[in-house]
Parts: sequence; C-alpha cells; structure tokens
Amino acid sequence: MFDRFLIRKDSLENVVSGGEVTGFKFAVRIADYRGCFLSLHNGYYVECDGEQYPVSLQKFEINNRPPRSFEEIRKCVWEHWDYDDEGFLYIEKKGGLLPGRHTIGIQQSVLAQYGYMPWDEEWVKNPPVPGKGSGAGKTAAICKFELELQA
Amino acid sequence: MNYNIKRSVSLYSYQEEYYLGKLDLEGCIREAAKAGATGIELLAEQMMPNFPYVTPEFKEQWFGWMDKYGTEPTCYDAFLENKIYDNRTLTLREQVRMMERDIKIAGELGFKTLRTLCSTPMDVIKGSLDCAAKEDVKICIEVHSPFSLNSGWADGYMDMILGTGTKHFGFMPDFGIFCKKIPDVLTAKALRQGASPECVKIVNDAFANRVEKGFTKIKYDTNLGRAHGEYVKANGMPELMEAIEKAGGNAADMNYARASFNYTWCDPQDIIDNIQYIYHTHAKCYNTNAEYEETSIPLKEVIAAYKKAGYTGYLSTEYEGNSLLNDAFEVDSIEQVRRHQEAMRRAIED
Repeated sequence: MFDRFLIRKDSLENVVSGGEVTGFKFAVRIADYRGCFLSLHNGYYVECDGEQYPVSLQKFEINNRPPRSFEEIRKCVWEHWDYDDEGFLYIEKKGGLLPGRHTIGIQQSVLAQYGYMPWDEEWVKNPPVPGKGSGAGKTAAICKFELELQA
Repeated sequence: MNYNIKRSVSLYSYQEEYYLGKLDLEGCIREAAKAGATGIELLAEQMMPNFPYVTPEFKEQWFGWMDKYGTEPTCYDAFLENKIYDNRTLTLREQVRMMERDIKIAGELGFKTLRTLCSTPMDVIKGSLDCAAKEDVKICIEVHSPFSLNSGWADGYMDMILGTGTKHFGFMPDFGIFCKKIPDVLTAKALRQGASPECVKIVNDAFANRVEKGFTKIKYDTNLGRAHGEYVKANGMPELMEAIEKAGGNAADMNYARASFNYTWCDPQDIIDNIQYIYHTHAKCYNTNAEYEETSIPLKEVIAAYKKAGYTGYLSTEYEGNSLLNDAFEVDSIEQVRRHQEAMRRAIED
C-alpha cells in the first residue's frame, strides 16, 4: 500500500559495535494505514544482494530503546509502535556491506486483526514466516529497493 | 424539503498525505472543514499520539481544533487485536476490555459512535453494551462489502438489538456495498499491472451480471474465512476464474477477477428498511470526477434512500482510492474529498 516508502532511501548504514562492523541497518515505516502493538510485529523478509537474512539475524529499534530481537519484541504486548514513528531494522552481517549500491528486498509482517480467520489459531501455534505473504497486510509483494550505503 | 443529513469526513481519507508528512492531524481537520464537512471521524491508532492513552494536552488540543474549525467528532474507528499474546488468542473478557478501552477513549474525545469491524463476535458487543450506555457511545458494526444489510449476517445482530432493546448498538453501512460498477481506478491499475483488455471485459461483464441478477448475501459466521468462501462461491467466483483461465489470463487478470468480489451492489431499499438502527455511515469513495460523480457508486440513488428514510445522522466521506493510484500517480486526497463532499451536498440538497 505504501510499498515505495517502506524504507527511507538515505538510511542504509553499516553498524559498528566495539570497533568492528557487525552488520547494517536501515529505517522503516509501517506499511499499513495505522500503528500496531509491538508484539504483533513478527519480523521481516530481508534479502540484500541476493542473500537472505532470517528473523534470527534481525533486531528492531523503536521507542528510544536499544535494538531488540524479535523474540523480545513478541513479548511487548502493551508497547505501541505509533504510526508516525520510524523504526530501524538491524541486520547481523560480519563486516557489513561494501560501499556502493545495494539491492534490498523486504516484506514486513504485522499480525494485525481484521477478522476472525481460520488461520488465527494456527498463527498462534505457527506464526507466519515473513516473506510468504501471510501477515504482510496491505503490502502483498516483496518490495525492492536500490539503496546507496551511507558513509 | 429540508433534509437534516449531515456531512463528515473520515480523516482516513487523507492517509496518503498524512503518511508522507504533507498533512498533520490539524491539517486533516482543516481540510475536512474547508471541504464543507461539520463532522470529523478518526482512526485513533492512525493519528492520535500516544495511542491508546489520551493525554490531557491532546484532549485540550482536540477540542480546541473542533472549536477552531467549527466541527464536531462523529465516529471513532476501533479495531480488536486478538493476537497480541504469542501463545493464545484473547479471551472473551479480554476482548470486551479492549472494546471498553476504545469506547472510553471515544467518549472522552466526544465521539457519538464507534465503528467496530464486521467480524466482531456478538458476545464481545453484548459484553460492552453497559460501558457504551455509560459513555453514551453507540457501537456500530460496519456493514462493509461483501457484508450487507437484510442478510443472514445482519439478522443475527438485529435479533440481538431486538432481544436486548439496546439503544447503544446498531449498523453503519459503508458505501462499498453500493458499487454498481467496479471502481475505474481499480480497472486502470489492473491494466497497468498487465491485465488484458479481454479478461478485464470478462470480469466487468460478470460483475454487471451480478448487479443485474442481485448478489447472493453473506451469512453470519464467526469464522469469516468460511463465510467469505461460501459467499464468493455462491456469487460465481469459481466459474469466473475458470473463464479467465480459459482465456489465457495471467496473474494480473486473476487478481483483478478476485478483487472484483470485494465490491457489492445492494438495493438502497436496505437503508430504508433498517434506518431505525443506522447511526452513522461510511460514504466510501474511490474516484470522484470533475463533474462530481463517484464513478462506481451512484450517489444520488443511494442518498435518495437516506432522504426517503429520514436519516438525520452523518454521511462520512471515506476516500480509499489512493492505494489504487499511488503505484503510478501522485494522489490528491484533498481534491477527492472536496469533490465527494460537494457531490454529497448536491445529492442531499437537490
């Protein structure tokens, strides 16, 4: 729905921790038309230059808190991601990205409720894997971005 | 004759400009008032800072804006998040609590009605009626396409209204149930995405045929997937998909064929039959042209039913065409809302 704006285009940066480049990050918005309780957000499908980065390599920074794993985010039942706010998605990748342009494919997964669907109970037992379409809300396809790594 | 039908704007209509930072909440209220609306409808989870908490500062600002722009709050749009815990869905009691939370916010901000989704279970509504009465907020179940009034689905809720005698629960139709044609902006988008004119014609002809014959209505079922599956089957989806496949349809053709079942044509007489229990209306719109015609919804015909029925509530513009355009075009929700408000004004006053 707001596919084109899911990632802020000038936000791709390497992440430095303890003097070493440990990965990269970029800024994301909610792809839907409203905010969400944080526990409903169960991660992203992310590929960069053809390589996939599963949810276990992702951390999410929001509400002025340090980046948290999605294991932790799923417990944030009463914390809200306000619609106007930008979050940062951190991807673990030793050495980070090389300078220059990178192609990122992304799909956000938020388990927002619109009805009582046959898969509601199933999603409790087996939450959908981001990138398969389920939970992608108003953005059904994996969105592609060409981004320049910022210095 | 002087009709007392009032006009509102759901600020959802400005979602494109809001998302892109071109309008803030006050800007949306200002534009709605400029378009001639006296009512404001809000999705709190979209535009209210610190949702679900109403700060004293926000409350003051909110009523300040209502005074400044000569508007009043009409409808609060609520959702019912059932999956916030990762090991179970919410219990009935928790769902009622969530509904009560929204009713209280609505009451605090001066809203007279609260939109609940068509999937809201009966027991959640029943359990929230005391709170709704206390806050004097009417819970309105949205009659959103493909749901409809005078249907098995609506009968269940009507029985509850009659059984309890409640004055704090009723219906709010969404004009998506009055589509005589598939929105032209959806057709244009399908063609942009590679649908073929031949398949588009097959889909459009099938839709016209459903309008002509009358749609088979949806049943009440808390399992929406099942109810929806039966609904599309009864209205000829399998046959249409087969026809598209035979015509060599591609993915865009298939998507267009499926999407056509999101729109419904109901007889506006449904409004007259149920008027006693209609407390608010989403005047959904997709594309209003420069001649002030909504290109898929015959506004005059629909509003004539509201006039005949003596409706005194709000018709609230809900522009939703942005997502059918924004892959290729700049969206101008401000102009779309302005045209739609003018089209409604003419239909009400003429």
